[in-house]
Amino acid sequence: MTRQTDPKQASSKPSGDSRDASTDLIHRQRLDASPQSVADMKLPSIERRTFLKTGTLAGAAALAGATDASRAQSTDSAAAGQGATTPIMTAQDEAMPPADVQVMSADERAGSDYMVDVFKSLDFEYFCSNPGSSFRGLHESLINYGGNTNPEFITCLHEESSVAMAHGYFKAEGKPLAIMAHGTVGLQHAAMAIYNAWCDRVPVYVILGNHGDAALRRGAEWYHGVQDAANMVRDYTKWDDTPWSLTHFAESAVRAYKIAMTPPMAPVVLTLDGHLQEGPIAKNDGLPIPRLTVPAPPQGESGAVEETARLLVEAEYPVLVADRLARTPAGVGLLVELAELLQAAVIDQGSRLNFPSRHPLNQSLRAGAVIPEADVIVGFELTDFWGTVNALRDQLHRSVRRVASPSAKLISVTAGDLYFGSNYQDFRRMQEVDIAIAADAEATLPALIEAVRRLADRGRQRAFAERGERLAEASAAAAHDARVAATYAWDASPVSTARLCSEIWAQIRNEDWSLVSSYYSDGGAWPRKLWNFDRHHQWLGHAGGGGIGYGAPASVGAALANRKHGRFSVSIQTDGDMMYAPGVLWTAAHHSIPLLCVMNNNRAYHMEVMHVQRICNARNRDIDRARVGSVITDPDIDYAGMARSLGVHAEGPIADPVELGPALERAVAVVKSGEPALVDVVTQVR
Amino acid sequence: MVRGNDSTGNGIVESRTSAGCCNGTLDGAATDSGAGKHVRAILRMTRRNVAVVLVAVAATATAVDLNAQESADGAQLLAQSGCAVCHGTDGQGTAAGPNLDASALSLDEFIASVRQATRTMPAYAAEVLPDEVLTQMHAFLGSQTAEPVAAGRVDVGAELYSDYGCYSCHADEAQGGQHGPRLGPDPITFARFSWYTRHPTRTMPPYSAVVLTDQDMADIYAFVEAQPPPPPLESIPLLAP
Repeated sequence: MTRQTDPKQASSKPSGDSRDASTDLIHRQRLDASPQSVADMKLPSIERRTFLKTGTLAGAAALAGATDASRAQSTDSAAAGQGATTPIMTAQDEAMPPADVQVMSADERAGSDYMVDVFKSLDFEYFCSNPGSSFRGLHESLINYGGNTNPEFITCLHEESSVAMAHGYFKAEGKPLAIMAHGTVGLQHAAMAIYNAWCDRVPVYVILGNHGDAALRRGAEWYHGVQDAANMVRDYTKWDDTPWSLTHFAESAVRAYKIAMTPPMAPVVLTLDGHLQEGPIAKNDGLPIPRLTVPAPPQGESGAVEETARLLVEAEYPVLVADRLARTPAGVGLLVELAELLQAAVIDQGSRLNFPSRHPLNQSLRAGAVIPEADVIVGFELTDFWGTVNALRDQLHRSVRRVASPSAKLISVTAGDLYFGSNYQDFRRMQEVDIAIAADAEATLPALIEAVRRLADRGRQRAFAERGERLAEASAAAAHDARVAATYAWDASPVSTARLCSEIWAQIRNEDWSLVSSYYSDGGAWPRKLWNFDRHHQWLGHAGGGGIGYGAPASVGAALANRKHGRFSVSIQTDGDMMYAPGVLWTAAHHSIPLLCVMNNNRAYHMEVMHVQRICNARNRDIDRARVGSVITDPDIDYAGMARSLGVHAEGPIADPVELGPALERAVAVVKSGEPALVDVVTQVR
Repeated sequence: MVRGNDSTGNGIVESRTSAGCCNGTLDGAATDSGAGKHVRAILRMTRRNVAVVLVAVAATATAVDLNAQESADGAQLLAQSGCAVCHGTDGQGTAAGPNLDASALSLDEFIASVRQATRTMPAYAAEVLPDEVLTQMHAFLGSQTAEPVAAGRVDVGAELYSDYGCYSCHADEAQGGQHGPRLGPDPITFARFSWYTRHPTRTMPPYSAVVLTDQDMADIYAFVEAQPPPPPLESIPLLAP
């Protein structure tokens, strides 16, 4: 729009000039513009301000009336009302000369300041992010207006690290972190980690910067500009929005949090326009902050719960299988209560810590023996029910077979039935079941426990007790066998993974410890055989989507959560995973995040060696070449040297198991002082 | 000849059992061949219906090719007769049935043991499992204790064990891991080691003689067998519960 206004008036009232002139592009254009066009900035800028606040014509008119006198003086209300329907910027606007003053006045604040108010209301502790110009407004508001506390800006060196840190943090803390990234290149970096979080049903709050108005983009903002930023990750996020006013933003910001935290939980995306962030608004604008109420998770339907309880009580060999059951620490106690009531076998599949590892009813080490015996199997938040009761044989011609008894009753309790994506196939094969309860398993357990308690008469309780004794004997034998298995290759060099995990356990067993990651290695299997896990934060599961590069940043994120609780965080870090984004070690050092990172350095992507070798076998050729493309040697990577260069205490490489204990002891002391430490251990593949 | 082939073409019907055939329901392999379905139908019978089982097994047994000459067919006999359900696909034993170490029994003793019911195992009459079938089965089980065809070389075996990727599941010292069992020291007999390596029934990829010669097999076996025994569990304080 164009309007004629006295240019002198514009220059004589700099405090009232709240034009949205924050971009370099428009600044350069204004240098060459005619004086007449200067006046033209006034109304567009005011209208823009009101537009940012409400996004509506009516709102613009109403709020324009509430602004201060200087702005009211320069506003023709009738014309402004018409003007709000025009584009934000016109050719004449772009030709305007620069204003005398390019700063906010004392009675103004930035749109992103208000955004920070909203984010603070959501109780974010941290924002993980690289810096990026598309969200520079929000960045500045966080560190200055927000005081860089709650949320605090955590400096990351890769967007994938930002998201994976938020992923690990949630599983230790139970609430989401926000991450910021460019809507294009930043999101492209972040995408794999978002997919991991999606598959792991973990809420990550993704904030994307974008300059939607092409007329105002600087040069780089064209590369960072996108019509629909969230489109790239819409298949594996639960909800997204691109607010066009601050009112719109506030509702969407709270709505996004609410949706992310409602089971089944998943990442959400907010795309924040650069001008919405950077444009000024009146300090006394009166924009409200919507109140957050996270929905109570859905409980199972009472009839289905009652029938499940009846089947469990009548069963001769009921088996309770849990994967993402324990959404909170309370979930562990509930599963223990149900299992003890029934004296039923429990298999913890490990996406969360669902059941104490040394509980006599824990039959996780005997899953292969227990499942075929079961006459009733209840799956609580299973990611793969089909794979629990069937097996796929990966040979030249793949075949499948039922593992569970064909007469076994199968019952599924999962919030996964409430929401699916379609393009990505993480929902696994469909398992036919006898009862499907579409509900949050942890929220359903109290009613199920109560029903079982009511139905279990004394006769059944005697049978339960006998069953429990047999299970206790079996689990004790399995635990003993695991310890015996750990003795093999005990003194070998490179260090066996059993020895590695035993040495770590000796150092941490008396701490309030948390194994923040042990991704994709036998280093992950041995702790669950040898360590005593009995608290929810001691085991944080896996990456979800199988995306390598999760372990290192998720460890740092979980350690960040554990820091304020005084927990000792330890990771068993595979070498291939570390090299995706090792810069996260610098983030740990920079922000004094205490973490003992023990490298399980077997110098290869050995899982892939297995896969290539399997194909060589099937094709009858050159098995001895299967390692080509998968080993990480020649040169060997000096992880300790790399960590030291990033400011982290480090020792290694250690290949002699005798040297391992003392090195770990020194590293533990560093971690207890509040800093990260790394011990590089050259290990066997298994 | 009716074979209980699975779809992998290895000629082995994989079967699963409930813990103890006296308690649960038996299940056969999830294969689609006619023979496979037939065997599964047999195996689904509960112990309460032993008579029905025996009749069904008899039907299967009479369908077995009694002229089969290859020792590998012994495994098929185990599968088709239902023995593999409890005793494993090559008689190695499972949680539901012991190792069938035929070398410890003469043929007559072996046949007698099958004819006589035990606490958990039903008796198999000659009409159900003819002596000819049991004779072949005994020969197969006896072959599982045979010696290597060639002398194994530990040092060569160590190289092959690494080059051929055995370590990637069974670990550097053959101590086993999450993806493969411990192989040594005290390995299973060479014949079973060799037979299983050629005809794995689970997730292990098959090693044909094209990629792993009999001499290679003997060398790797020698390496596995030569692994030192571990220290006693009680001598390692770190492994105390």
